[in-house]
Amino acid sequence: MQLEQTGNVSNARESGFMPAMILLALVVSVDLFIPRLVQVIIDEGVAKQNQEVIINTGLLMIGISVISALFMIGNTIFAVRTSRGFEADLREAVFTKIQTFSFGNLDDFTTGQLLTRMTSDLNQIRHVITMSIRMYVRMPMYFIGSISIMVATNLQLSLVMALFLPIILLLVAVFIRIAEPLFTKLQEKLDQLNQVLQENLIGIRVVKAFVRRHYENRRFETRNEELYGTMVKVTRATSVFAPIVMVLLNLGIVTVIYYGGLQVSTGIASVGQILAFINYFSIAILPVLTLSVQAGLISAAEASARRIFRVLDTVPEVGDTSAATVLDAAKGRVVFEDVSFTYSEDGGAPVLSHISFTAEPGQTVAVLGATGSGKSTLIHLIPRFYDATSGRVTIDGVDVRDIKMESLRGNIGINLQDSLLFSGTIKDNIKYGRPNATDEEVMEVAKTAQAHDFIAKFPDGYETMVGQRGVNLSGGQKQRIAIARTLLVKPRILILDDSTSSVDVATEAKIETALDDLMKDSTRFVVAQRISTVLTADKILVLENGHLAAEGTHRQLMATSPIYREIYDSQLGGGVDQ
Amino acid sequence: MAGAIETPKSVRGALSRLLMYLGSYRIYLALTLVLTVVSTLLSLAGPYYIGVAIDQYVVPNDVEGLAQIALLIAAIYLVGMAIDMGTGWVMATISQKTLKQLRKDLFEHAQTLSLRFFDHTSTGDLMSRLTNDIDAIGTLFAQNVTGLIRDLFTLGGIVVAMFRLNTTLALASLVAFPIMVGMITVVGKRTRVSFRTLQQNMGRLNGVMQETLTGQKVIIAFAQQESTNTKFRKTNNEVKATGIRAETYSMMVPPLMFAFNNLNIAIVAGLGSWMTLQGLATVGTISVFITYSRQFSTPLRQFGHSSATSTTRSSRRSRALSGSSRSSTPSQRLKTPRTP
Repeated sequence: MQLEQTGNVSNARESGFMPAMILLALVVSVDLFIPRLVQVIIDEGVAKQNQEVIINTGLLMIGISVISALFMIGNTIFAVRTSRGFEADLREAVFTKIQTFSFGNLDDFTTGQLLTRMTSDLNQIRHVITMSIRMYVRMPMYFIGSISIMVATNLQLSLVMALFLPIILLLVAVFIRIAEPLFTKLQEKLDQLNQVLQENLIGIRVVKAFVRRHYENRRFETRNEELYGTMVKVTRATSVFAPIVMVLLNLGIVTVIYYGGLQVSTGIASVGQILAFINYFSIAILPVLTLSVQAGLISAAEASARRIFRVLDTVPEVGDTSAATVLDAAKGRVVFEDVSFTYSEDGGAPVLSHISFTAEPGQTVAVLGATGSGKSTLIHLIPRFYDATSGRVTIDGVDVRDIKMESLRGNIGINLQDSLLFSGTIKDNIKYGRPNATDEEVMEVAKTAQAHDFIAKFPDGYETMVGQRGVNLSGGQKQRIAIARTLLVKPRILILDDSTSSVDVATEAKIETALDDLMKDSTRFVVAQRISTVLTADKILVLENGHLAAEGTHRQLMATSPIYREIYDSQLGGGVDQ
Repeated sequence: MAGAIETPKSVRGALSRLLMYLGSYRIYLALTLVLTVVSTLLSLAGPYYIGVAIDQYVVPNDVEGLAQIALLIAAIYLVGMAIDMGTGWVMATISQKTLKQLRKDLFEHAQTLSLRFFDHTSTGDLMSRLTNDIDAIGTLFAQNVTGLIRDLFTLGGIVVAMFRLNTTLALASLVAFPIMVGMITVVGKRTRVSFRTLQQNMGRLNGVMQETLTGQKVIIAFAQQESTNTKFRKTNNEVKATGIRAETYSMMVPPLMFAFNNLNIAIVAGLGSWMTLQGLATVGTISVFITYSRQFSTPLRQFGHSSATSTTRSSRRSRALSGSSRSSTPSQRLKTPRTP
């Protein structure tokens, strides 16, 4: 069971688990004493008119109650520590695992899924762990303990009671047989509903923009209805099962009264024994009821554990080989040698086919092409966000797969298409890749990215909060801060992936001029949709459906490439002279 | 994270709004409640007649009468079972239908909220609010609609029966009662505060996780995995620490109830036996009192347990319904749509 395997992830087990268990065993043995003492007090005290026995036994019982309470408090302290520690450890394991993921691994999960693993799935498991430390282990102990004492006290009466056991156990088996698949299904339906909810919340802007409210409502309604169907079945099953077990327990007690009463009349049993039997029988059976009704919790936790292990068992697609070397002070010569790339391992249409080109240090290479032509994929191969399916990418002649990841990415500054900022101040965001940078350096890159002017206009300047509870920045402002963030790393190889799409053409030109100055020694890759962005590049790569359709400077391409000319005409149409 | 403090009033308001959802099942509910009362009384009659059986038939060796009263007790329990099954079945349908409606309304309501609302609330937080909270309400709901009535009648019925059987023993077994209630109150108060802190920390952790996961590709691009882990660990450990603090108190309630129950049995058995010697009580009465003590502590344990968890639940309830709780403008975030 995966649920048990989760134990290996945490060492919280060792810290509190054993003490909790020992205390629990003590609690059980002390508790099992009580009915026995009731029997003694009735048979030895009342029946034999012995006041001393009554007082002593009574005091003993009170003492035992207090001791049991202390044990139980101790157990609780350890149990909570263990389960909370366990939860934190497991969450950390999942979180740090995700930090080893490459882009390819991330594509296999949605953000929502990963978040659910670390929240509700973990909760589910923690709950069962707590319960098992406190209850599940105690239940069988009560069951076995009570039955043993009953047998030892009055074998004949125990044998009569034994009739009830197979019936009750059979009933439990049937119930679990019916309920188990229902619980699994319930979990599924709950997940599906959550999925719809998640997608809806994440895409709420799209939903609103396209007035998809009614469609979304219907989608939710379908899942909601399905969940309801399963929920009703589960609840009904429980509401039938519990009264039947209760009545069997009570009929058992009636049997004790009747059969025990007959035994009393023939002098085989005592009245005290009857009282003790009633109590022991309850102690043995009630836990069975509690346990079976909670079977759902366990199967839910099992499902959660399975999902968590899907994350934990993921092998990072991209990693350091043992032969990997450190690349310091790279010159920045990037070469693609017959590179092809496919996202799915089992074939599928190639995103890039047989791409070869060279980018010399200090050059600016522009990558141009329609949406889906493979521009982003191409540049993602340089910092090894993905590995090429065939062919190789080299930096200064070394295959990127043979360079230690940390030093590889330390030499590359990449500005992703989605210019996402983290919550915090603007300064925090710019310093993200180099937290120890000075304020002067921050300002310098902000000026290069044409962000300084608008930042300075905020009342708090660089200390302005962005993100969830901060100011609302425009798309262009976010992009410029993101560029500054990338520049601060002072990369040998700078990659800007469609980074200025929301910036106006004039500002974009200013950024480019400033970049020529600041990054003149770096190799630069610029992915763009707009042709105006690429006009001055040393080399332009035109991608079409994953193929390198043309390569050259603007002038060369205008003369030789029909595709390039077509793009040029459609965008600038002679409006701008070059 | 400005934690707006929930006033009991808002919780009660949330409760009554929840009850409104049940309105359309009024007739079924009324019938179920009446039947629940009957079944509760039957569950108290069982132990009572067992006491009678011990005193009047077992001790005097009346085998024939014993058979008759055994049949009577069996019949009482069987009728009780039939009622429980019936009401359980009906309540399953009603409560699940209500929950379905609640989920539907909540979802449709979320669709009418303004984008501004979504700008200022993280998806992770909203998700956990909507899913976990609906879950929690579900649990509370399933237990509480008939459970509350059952518990109240069990407590009331037991107290009345005890006093009718034996005033002295009744008083003695109620000695522990104020201590119990006092402890639940104290624990409840302590947990309320620490649960709120826990919730706040949990919300912050959710925020960190959500932001990390959304920005994972940026983290990879800047090779910031280690610093991200460090930041996460800090919040994760805070949740662990506050979780331990909150739960240690709340989890203490059930075992303490159990201990009080044992104490009660000890008092009843000891004092009862002594009184039996003086001719002031009977063995049957002791048996009834012991069973009642066990039955008495069950609903109390339930109360104690839910008072610990229901602090979170009732605040969640009002959170899910009104969406207040964690916003700096406390009230009615979700309630008033601000669609432009």
